[in-house]
Amino acid sequence: MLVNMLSGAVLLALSIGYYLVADAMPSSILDTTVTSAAFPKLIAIAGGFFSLLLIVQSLLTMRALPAIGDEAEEMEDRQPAAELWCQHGRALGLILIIAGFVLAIEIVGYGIAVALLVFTVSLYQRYPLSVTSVGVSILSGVLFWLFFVVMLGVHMPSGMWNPLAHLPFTLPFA
Amino acid sequence: MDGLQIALHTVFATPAVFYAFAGVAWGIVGGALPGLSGSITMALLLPLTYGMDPTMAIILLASTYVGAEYGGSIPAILIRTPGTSAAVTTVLDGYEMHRQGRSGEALGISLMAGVVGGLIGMILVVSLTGPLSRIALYFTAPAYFALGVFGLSLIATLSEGSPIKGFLSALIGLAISTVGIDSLSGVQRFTFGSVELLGGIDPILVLIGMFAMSELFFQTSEPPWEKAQASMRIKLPSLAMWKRLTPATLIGTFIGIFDGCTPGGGATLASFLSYNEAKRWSKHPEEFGKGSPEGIAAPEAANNTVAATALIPTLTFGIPSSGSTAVLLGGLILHGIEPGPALLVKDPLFVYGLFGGLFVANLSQLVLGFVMLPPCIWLVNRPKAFLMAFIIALVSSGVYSINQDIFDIVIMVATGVLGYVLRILRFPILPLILALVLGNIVERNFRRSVDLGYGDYSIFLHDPLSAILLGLTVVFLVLSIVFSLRRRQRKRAAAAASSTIGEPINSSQT
Repeated sequence: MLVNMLSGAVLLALSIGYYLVADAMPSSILDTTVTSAAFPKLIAIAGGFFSLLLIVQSLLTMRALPAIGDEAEEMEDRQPAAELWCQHGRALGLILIIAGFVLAIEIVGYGIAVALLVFTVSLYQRYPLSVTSVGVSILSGVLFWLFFVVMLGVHMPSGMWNPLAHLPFTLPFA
Repeated sequence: MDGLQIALHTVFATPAVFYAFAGVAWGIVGGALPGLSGSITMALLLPLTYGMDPTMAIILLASTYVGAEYGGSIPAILIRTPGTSAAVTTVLDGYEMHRQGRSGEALGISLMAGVVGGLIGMILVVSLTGPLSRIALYFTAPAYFALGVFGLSLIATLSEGSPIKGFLSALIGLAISTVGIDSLSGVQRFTFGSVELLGGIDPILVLIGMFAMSELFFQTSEPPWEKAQASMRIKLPSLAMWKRLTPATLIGTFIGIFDGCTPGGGATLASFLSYNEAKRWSKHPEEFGKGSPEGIAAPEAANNTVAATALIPTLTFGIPSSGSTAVLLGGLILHGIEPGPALLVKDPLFVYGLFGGLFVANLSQLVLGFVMLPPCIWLVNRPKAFLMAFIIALVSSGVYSINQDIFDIVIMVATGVLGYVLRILRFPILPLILALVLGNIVERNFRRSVDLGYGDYSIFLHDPLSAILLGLTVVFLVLSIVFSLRRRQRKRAAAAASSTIGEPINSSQT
């Protein structure tokens, strides 16, 4: 219930901030009886109302006997704290890998970035480093490049291979 | 041209058959992979449908939904892991049949029940869409706004968890939909000086982030799933078996019809309800949970019927009944098709073309169910590490291909983080997705209504349909809070009673 109260408090703060930003919007000569800020303000007011409702509901539940009702159900469903933080840590690690992929695309080019992504994720998911993991990673890079760049004609970043685009002949990966 | 002619023309004169087959095949593969639900499988296709003909794109997406409902039963039967949430009940008897060496029979029952349920569902969709669309004449701008609010409140209250959290989730979705340049006045809203946000936040990015990315963040700490037996053949039920399965199949279909039409229902709820009812009415209820064929037929018929009947509220009212139909709704908006009561009137070519394509999709499932089984088993047996990596690469590449903008991948990951946080805090995601998809429509009709009323907000009460829908919204909100409070009180009373009974005798003696 403390988590719900904190969530409600955060959402209340966000609703207030959202309202203030909406209120600060400039008017437009194209505005009619309803300005562009009207709908966002309505959302902010509703958000504030439901956030307060969530806080009040949490407070009322916390004042009742502990470990009863929905509180008991939530506590039974909730994982142990250590396990939960481990799960968060794993998720954060995956986010960082994807962030690295996003940075790598522009540097090493699409195909190589995909290969590095597959390789890194496989290691992260505890697949042992082997010829298979390296081979599958390289094959993945090639297959994704063939599918998106050659078959679908999507212009993917070529990164450091970009200068090759200016050569007098055309390379398949430039 | 009448509806049948349009449907036949679409099937025989356009690539609809190809897209129906492709969608079902992709749906079976996606549904068979644990961790990829029907909605994620559909969301993965969304970026690739850019540039496609709208009817073909929606046939592809809807066929994917059809295929995924069957695909989810493959790992449910073979490795006791449902591929989709609707296949949870199939595990109960399907896996038992697998342990008894009757995997092929179980898969055959799942396939046939699904095809029958899907076809009956499609017949109903075709029958009901016309009459429901005639009420389009009565819908004004205030009524459309009220319909959007009603739909959002319905989903918010019927989604799992607290109704208050459901409403907050919907409001977050509406807030995201306001980002970008206002189409009516040209004012920049919530862009904070960012050029990338001028065009707003594409619902596809949020859909993929919320469904696919957040699921991957959870899956990274889950253990790998079991391996399936490499060789397997589907065995279709005999006539004698069909006689036994008919009541269960009809029960599943009947429940699927009502559940699919109900916003917030979905295939998962239908499969649970149909399993219970099939057991109640079965001549052999003792066999349920021990390898009963009816225990597979009922839920599989139900979830495939839902895949068809869920189109009714989605197309005619713009209110989806589940995550998968929310993705379908996103696809409709993406391709410039505004769902609602007037859709059949405004765009009959699309509606009847879609129906034609979906009939083909349901029939193609019969063929593809056999053809796709070996590749699905092969995929399920691949190391989870590689499957996760491929999904990340596929999702990122698909998202990048929309605008060739790295910022889109950043938005997708950010919304994936938001989805992960919301799921940890037990906020339902479906209201957020629906609100995001419908946000622009709701706001446009709100502003149009107030303009029509010259700034007087009472126009929403003077319009009869609007007043009724807004009234129903308030009723649903109050009822959901009342039921929630009553449920808590009952649980408190039960917990207090059990703690009194459990008091030690010694305490009374001291």
